[in-house]
This record gives sequence, C-alpha cells and structure tokens, in this order.
Amino acid sequence: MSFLITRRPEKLFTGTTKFSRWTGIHNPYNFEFTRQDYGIYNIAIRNAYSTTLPTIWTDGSASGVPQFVSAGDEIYVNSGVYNGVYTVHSVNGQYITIDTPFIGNGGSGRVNLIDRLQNFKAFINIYDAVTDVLIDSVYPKPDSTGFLIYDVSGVLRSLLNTQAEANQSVINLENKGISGSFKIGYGATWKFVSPSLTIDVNSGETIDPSVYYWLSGAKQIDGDTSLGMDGIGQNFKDYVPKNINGSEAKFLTMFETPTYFEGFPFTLSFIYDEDFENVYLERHQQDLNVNSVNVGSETDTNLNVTGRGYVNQMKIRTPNTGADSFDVWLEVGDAIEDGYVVDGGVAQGYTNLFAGAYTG
Amino acid sequence: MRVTEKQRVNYVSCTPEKPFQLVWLNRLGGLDTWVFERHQEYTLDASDMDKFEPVIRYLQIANARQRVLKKEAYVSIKLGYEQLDEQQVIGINELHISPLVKVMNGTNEVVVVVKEGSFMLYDRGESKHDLEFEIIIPKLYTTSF
Repeated sequence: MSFLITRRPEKLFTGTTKFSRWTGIHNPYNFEFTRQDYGIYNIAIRNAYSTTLPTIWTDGSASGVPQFVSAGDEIYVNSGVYNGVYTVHSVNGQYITIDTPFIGNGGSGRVNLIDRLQNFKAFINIYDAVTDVLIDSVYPKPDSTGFLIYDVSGVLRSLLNTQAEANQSVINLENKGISGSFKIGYGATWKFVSPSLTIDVNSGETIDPSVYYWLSGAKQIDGDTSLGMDGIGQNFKDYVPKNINGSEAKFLTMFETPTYFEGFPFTLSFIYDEDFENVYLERHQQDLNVNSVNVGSETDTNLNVTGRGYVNQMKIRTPNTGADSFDVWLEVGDAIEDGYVVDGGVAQGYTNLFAGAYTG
Repeated sequence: MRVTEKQRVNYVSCTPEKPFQLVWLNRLGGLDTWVFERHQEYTLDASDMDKFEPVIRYLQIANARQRVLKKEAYVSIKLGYEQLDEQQVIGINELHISPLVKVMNGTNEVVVVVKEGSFMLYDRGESKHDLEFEIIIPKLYTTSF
C-alpha cells in the first residue's frame, strides 16, 4: 500500500544531477501523487489460474494479497490495455485473476483496492525549510484512478510580504517577503473494510528530502516537454545559477539592458541558489566606455552568504569616470572555510573574551 | 568560473530634470528601477464620501440643503520620460502589473499606485518612444462634519 510522489516540480540541468527547484507562485506549483495499493509486473494468461481470463502479477506478498483481496471484490487496474474497474475472479498468492475477457498482455502498472480501502484521502504537510515550522496541512482526495495533482502555490502565497529595500547598505540582501523555501511531507489515510473488520488506517508521513523554493513571480507556460516536468514551464531554471560549467543564469530583470542613473540607488536581482553552500559567490564588474572598451580593470567582491536560498538584490559598484556602461556577472569564488579565520583566531560567533589570559 | 550571463547595464551620468525614482517588483520576482522626469507638480483631487440632506421644516430659514460628512483626497503626480528604446519600454511596462511600486526619495520609501488608464506611450519614430503616466500617492482623509 503506497502513496507516492510521481512527479516533482523540478528541472534537471542537462548532463548533471542538479535540479532547479525554483518556481513562481503566481503560476501553479504542482506536485503529482499516485495511489498504488499494489504495483503490477504484468498481466497475461497464466494457465495455472485461468486459461481464458487475464491474471495480474502484483508486487504484493503471496500471503498478504489474499488478506486484502477476495473473489467478487472490485479493483481498479491500470496496466496497458486494462484500465478501469474490474471484478476479481480469484486470488492465488500474489496473483489476481480478473473477470474480463483477455484482450492482450498488460505491462507494469498499479492496482487499487477500491472495495476494501475506502474513503482514501491524502494529507500533505508543507514545512518552512529553514525553521521546519509547519506552514499548512491539506487533505486532498485522489481521483477515481488514484491520481492527484496538488498545487501548493495557494498555501505559499499566504507567505508573501511584498517589500523592497532598494536603498540597501550591504552588497547583497535577501528578500524574504518575496522568496523562500519549503519541504513537503505526505501520506494517506483510509478505512479498511472487510466482512470481519473495519478500521481506520494512517500510512504515516513521508518527508520528501528535497528543498523547494518559491518566489513572487509568474512565467508564461511554455509547455517545455524536453526538460523536466511535462507541460509545466513555470520553473525558473533559466534564472538559477548552478556551480557547473556552462551555467548562464539570467538576472531577474525585465530590461534587456537596465539603466543605472548616477547618484540613485540601483540593484540587480538574482537567485542565490543552494548549490553555493560551500563556495562564495563573487560579483564581477567591468566598466566600459561609449565604444565598449574597458575602463579600469575588472573588480570582484564576495557576496554575503546569508542570502543563500532567497532572491537577492545586489548593489553595484559606482562605475569609474568615463564609463558609459558596464558588465556585471557572478562567479564562483573561494571555498567557504570553517569558523577559524587564521591560525589562533577566534571562531565565528564567539568573542575574544579570554584571549588575553591565554598564555599557551 | 562564471555562473551567470554577463548583464550589460547602461550608466547614465546626467540626471533627468526633476528626477523621480520608482522601484517596482517585476513578474520575475526581481526589482527594477527607473528615474523618471516629473512632468507636473502635485495634483489634488477631492471627492465627497458621505453626504446627508437635513430635514427642512421652514425653507425660509434653512441654511443648507445638503451637508458633507466626510471627504477624501488623493494626490497624483505626472511622470514621464522621452526617447525610450524598445527594451526600455518593455521593462517599464511592468509598472502596469506590478503589485509593488515604490517611490525612492533619499531614505524615504512610499508605496504608490499607478493610476489606471494613465499610461500613455507616444511613438516618436526610429523606434523611440515617449512615455507619460500618473502615480497616486497614499490617500488623504479629512472629516468635515
């Protein structure tokens, strides 16, 4: 008996094992679940059980299946040409023969015991990924085929606290009102009904190990079927920098070429991804004159790591005299060391209270 | 190793006349900004919110047929910019649909609303455009009675 995540809102970076899990919450933020009481290896004629009726080879145990399925029960079957509700003809160990004409072999799939496991409901818990505090619990019901798509964007929109701090003093500042992260836990409850027993069953909660990220954005659905989730194009993959060769993430601006007016606050927004947990991100900037020739030399500055996991606003260095434009980009910097800065130094977060007394 | 594209940013060292900077949240979840020119000083529009008509027993001595209980007023400012190119117009158009538009004025930040229907874009030829629109700063309330 299982209730599984069968599709996640994530997109794979080709040639790597890294995913973009950033989605705008003004689009649907869909997780797909499937109820699967038993998996199916295949469906075929098995002469030992019936020479004319199709027999399902389930992944249940030889002793377990007969406890939950009896002749005369109605079950939902999804396997190749067999797709619908069928009456059970007989049960032998992990094999279930159904009372329907044989119309061909069936491949892998699933069986749901709709007669015995009634009132099947899912529960999905959404947790803040930073604090582990429960944000909300929802109790959606899969459809008759055991299929459930749940959109968490409505729950996440309650976290929006639209704000803008464009006049910031630090090089990069996370915007927690328009971005954040979460985890989900899921499971199911049902009523087990048999002639001798009726009990409520709770599957227990499974916590999905991945952290998902949201931002206050919306994209046009591009139906990108070649990468990641089919037909769901609201993933912000194009804007997510990754610590991989060829990463070409875009900044979160609608201008092809934004404009920095001298003397006025200016920031560029970008996604500070989880992939930079062990390395610094550096802001690089190269000033250019009216002919796009370098003015001064390229500069680089480490970003604050506290912004990781959020949309950040990044300040720009005031360009040199003679600059008409500049290029700005992010690069991977040095590895983030542990708390000790130099030999004999004091760990981050501690004061130097006893340093004077130390004579060793 | 570079992990983002190289973003070209124009640097404008001549400040517009009567500058007025707006910052807004775009549809990608980022902040965009532009320094506009203030085309018109503050305009105050006032309207009556509640009125009542007192019972008049003797018309000869009545001093009013209608009294106002409350008035509201809002201040709007007309902004604009000239000679915008295509990509600048696309970027600034986000102002229409942004849930957050702020005026940046030194250390002060005020959330404003772009007045509905006020966005006017004029084609100046050679792919250049002039833009004019109105923003409404927070409402003023006055009680008169």
